[in-house]
Amino acid sequence: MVKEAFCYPVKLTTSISASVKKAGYLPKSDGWSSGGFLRSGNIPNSYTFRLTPLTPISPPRPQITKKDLIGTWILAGTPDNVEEPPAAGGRLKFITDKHWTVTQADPNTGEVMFHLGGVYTLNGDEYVETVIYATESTKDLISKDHKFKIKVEGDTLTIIGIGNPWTEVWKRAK
Amino acid sequence: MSRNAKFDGKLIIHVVDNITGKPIEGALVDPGMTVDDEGVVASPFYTSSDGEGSILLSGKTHD
Repeated sequence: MVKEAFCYPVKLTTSISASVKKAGYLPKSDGWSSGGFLRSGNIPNSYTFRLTPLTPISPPRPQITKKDLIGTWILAGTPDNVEEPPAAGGRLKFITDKHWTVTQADPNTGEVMFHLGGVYTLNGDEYVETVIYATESTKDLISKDHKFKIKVEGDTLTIIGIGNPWTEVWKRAK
Repeated sequence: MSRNAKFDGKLIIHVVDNITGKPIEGALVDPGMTVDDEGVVASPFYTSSDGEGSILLSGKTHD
């Protein structure tokens, strides 16, 4: 003990603690994300805190059912420009519990200008159409999938293309 | 002084994301320090872009 009395600094017992917090990371009940205690002696030169990120809470996905889609729809424009569908010659979309088609006829002659269709899947508000058949002008779409976010409000069906240019508003045909 | 612990008076703190392992910038680190059971002031700090910061300690530590 006498030897230690001549040492400088006199025997020190040091301890270090630290708490860490960061928005977006899991807090403890005291609001701090993590804490650690380093004992005196052999204190390392570095110490790593590992913070667990908070899992973002996703809003519930709207549950749209096939029942909401089944029927005949007529194109009414785009979300920023919805118009009253024409009485004749409108672009029609027919949806069953598995299949869909789109048909466009000349309003004056009734001659079909293009027609295509296929099958679809629906998961919440994610709607994916697969083109199986098409007339000449749209045959390049055959075998292609097209994904959409969709919304059904009363007699209005809004589809927003994801990775494709088709963002449209359809009204249920009367 | 063979019982001296090896400690250079600076403790580097790393803060990383537990999932990705990437450094976390701007985490608030609040150090607490005692020497011979007496509280010593240690300044809080925010981690750098590398997720790092340091706690400075005067003197050496002994077992």
